[in-house]
Amino acid sequence: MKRTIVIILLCIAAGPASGRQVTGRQVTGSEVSGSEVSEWDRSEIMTRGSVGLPELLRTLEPMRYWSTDRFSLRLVDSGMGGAHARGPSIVVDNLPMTSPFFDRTPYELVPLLSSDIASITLRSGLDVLDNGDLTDGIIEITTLRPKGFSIRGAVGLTNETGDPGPAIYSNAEAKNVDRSGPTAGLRMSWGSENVYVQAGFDTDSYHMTDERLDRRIWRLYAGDRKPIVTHATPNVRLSLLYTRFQLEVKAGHTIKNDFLFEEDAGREWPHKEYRTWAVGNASLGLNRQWTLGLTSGYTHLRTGNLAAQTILPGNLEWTSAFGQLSLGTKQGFGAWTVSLGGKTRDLRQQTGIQKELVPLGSISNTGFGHSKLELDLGKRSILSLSVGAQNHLGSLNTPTPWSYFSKLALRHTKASGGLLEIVATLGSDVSNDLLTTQNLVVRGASLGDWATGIHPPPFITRANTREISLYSSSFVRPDLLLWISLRGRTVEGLTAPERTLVKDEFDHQFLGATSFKIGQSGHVVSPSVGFVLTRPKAKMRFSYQYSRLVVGENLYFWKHFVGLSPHQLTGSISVTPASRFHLFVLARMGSQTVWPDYNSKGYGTLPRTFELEGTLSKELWRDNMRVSLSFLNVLDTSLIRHPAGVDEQFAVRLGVFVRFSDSEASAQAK
Amino acid sequence: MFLCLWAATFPSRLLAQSSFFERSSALYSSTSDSVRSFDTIRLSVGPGSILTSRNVDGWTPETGAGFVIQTPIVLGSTSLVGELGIGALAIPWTSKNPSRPDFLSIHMFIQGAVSSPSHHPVKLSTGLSAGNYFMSFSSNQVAGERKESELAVAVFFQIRRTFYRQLEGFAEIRTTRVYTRPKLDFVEAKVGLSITLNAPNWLRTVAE
Repeated sequence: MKRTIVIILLCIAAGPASGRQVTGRQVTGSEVSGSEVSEWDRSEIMTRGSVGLPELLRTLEPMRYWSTDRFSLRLVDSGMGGAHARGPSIVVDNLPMTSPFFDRTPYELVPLLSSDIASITLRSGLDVLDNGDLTDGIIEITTLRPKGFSIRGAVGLTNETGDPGPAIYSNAEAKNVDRSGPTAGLRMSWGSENVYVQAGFDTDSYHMTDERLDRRIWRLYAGDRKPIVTHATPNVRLSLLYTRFQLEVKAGHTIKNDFLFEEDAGREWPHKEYRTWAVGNASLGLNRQWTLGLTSGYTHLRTGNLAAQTILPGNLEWTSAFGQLSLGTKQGFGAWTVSLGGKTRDLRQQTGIQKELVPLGSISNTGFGHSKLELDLGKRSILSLSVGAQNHLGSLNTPTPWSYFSKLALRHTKASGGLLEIVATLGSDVSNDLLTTQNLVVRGASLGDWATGIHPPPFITRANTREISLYSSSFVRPDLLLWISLRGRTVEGLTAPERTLVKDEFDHQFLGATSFKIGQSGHVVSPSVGFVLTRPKAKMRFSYQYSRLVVGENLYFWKHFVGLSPHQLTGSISVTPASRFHLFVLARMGSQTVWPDYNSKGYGTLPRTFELEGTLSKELWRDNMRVSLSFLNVLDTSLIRHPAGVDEQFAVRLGVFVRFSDSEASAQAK
Repeated sequence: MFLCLWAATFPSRLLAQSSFFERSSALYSSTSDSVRSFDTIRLSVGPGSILTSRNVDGWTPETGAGFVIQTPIVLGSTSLVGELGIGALAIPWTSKNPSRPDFLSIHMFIQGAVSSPSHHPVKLSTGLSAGNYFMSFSSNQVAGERKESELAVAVFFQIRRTFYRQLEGFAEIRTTRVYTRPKLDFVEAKVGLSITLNAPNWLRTVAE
């Protein structure tokens, strides 16, 4: 049996059987390529019926995620970074759009609707962003730029089942449960061949009423209305696209009411956030070979507390700005880019009854440089080498202020259209995110009574990560792409939390103490295999991923990395059975997971999951309107993705998309 | 008065429009090859009731009424006729316990069905529906919460027979699950009449 499996895997890696050339393929559906395993085009995106971005990203087949409240997702890419990884960063039209906040990346604050998106590409593995940050995966999104005057909008409503019905008169404890929405957005834009301007407004809300977290939140929250997470984000976009000069700028302001669950605290933080942000990229062609580029960004974040029955962290004010200048050239040998940049950050806190904001440590400055060389090795092969370094200038309690990044990749497109890719990456990262409980405590911030018993490490070590990955895809039939991926990662010098969280049976809070252990090491290996079948009116994706931790006696590393299913099986199919009528079905199976921090009373072992969802969608009104109806967790199985999280039940989601455009021809951003 | 008069004379006025009937019957009573999506609408009305129920032990269902509006949709090259529709069924429930209020349930749904393309006057169809099960409790009997609603899905089977041009009689069984906690299960039965009409132009404009 094992021998058969090995032979099958080798066949996939080697290419089409018998060296058969599958040239001249006649696929009348969407164009297929060897890399489409990690690419989703607009037609596929729209069949999923999602309105908001996190709901859409959740359905990307290789994506792994968990959530405490069903709606705020913690994406962890392929899982190589463990359940507590910050997750992939989102880059929209070449601009980095996410910044971590406490132990998560708030994907829901990227002002994008599904209907804005032209394509998504998922790049797994370590990489470095234009702002110098190391990231565990990148989600590249390209958006549409309709020509002429255009008004577009979408609204989504999700209702989770489980309301009491007539039982409300026989069971005094019965109460209504989670619902979400409206998730909505409105766009007004004008575009030509060269210029595109857009004003938008995005909003979302969801109720924190699941009984597993409702009691915990009400034990802490002292507001006079039920806990609802809301955010509103007015935003603007300017895009210039000339032959020699290109500019892309996005900016916005967000007001958010949040009940963020923080694992070190073991409970939610009822608070408000005010974010102002802007990010831009300009490139100027100096001549036919040389290009000068500038990327910069600014974020200002202020927090305020909601009414609570305990003392919450003092109001925080965070300012961050970065700039990167790059020079690139395209020559006969390939392409080469060199970049230099800097970043400055400032963190202040209001403590006690004083109105003044007190600086937490000195202003933190970082300088970074990066270079990428791409060599054309014949018609179908590219060898690329990226190297980079950054220095945190006196910013942290660390003896190792330098961190490095290097990546060597060989990409070969097979004659059959398949792809062979070998990547070796070395990345080192000093935990430099100031907005974490760990670093806030290090800097003397006041977390009140909300998070107690946090004992930060005496100093922070540099975590070195080495990763190697092999990916191969081959067309075994003109419409069937088989792929295999083998990945391994070694982590050294990790600072991992050591938590003992005990659930209080009365108020469901997970209170305990957290300390941190420095210098932890271990290995993760993960093979995965799957296929993509593309037919004229259907597309099917299937994948299986296995991940295994090799940690020896290192219990801390193991505790930090488990929480995701070792076995994950995902399958999806998109079908268009009738004109402008679409069907999407997604099934996902995950094996049992363990969250050791919560295991003192057995809460940390979560059973295996099987989830099935389906979406029907119909384009109406000569494509000016689209209505989708999604059924989530159709089998109504118990879906608990985190020991402190909700039990997701069968839910239904209605999505309505409308657009009025002068011209349906949509020029995509570069 | 005018409404009553208009309703009473509606069938005769309809029968007078012979060209209208020819078009409609051509669309609906032949094979699926001649059916065009959204060309006609079929309006069905009739009384309905609950045959069996689970987890609603404290209430007795009475006879109610419902309607469905459907339009054909071509399913690729299959010989079956697809149908999309919307509908509702209202049922009054009487409480067996004086301390609990009576309520009126309104099951509002959208549905998709496949129907036999037979030339025979008897046709069979089956499909799925999803919608909202809305319950309005009588506020005269108890204080507190007066409205509840939850998702409901159903599977239905229908048999219908043409007895005069576009007029059909039908009988339908619908098994419904309402996703409250605890879940409610019903078997609903409905009989009635349906009539096929040409679809208004705006429906085609919106739907195509």
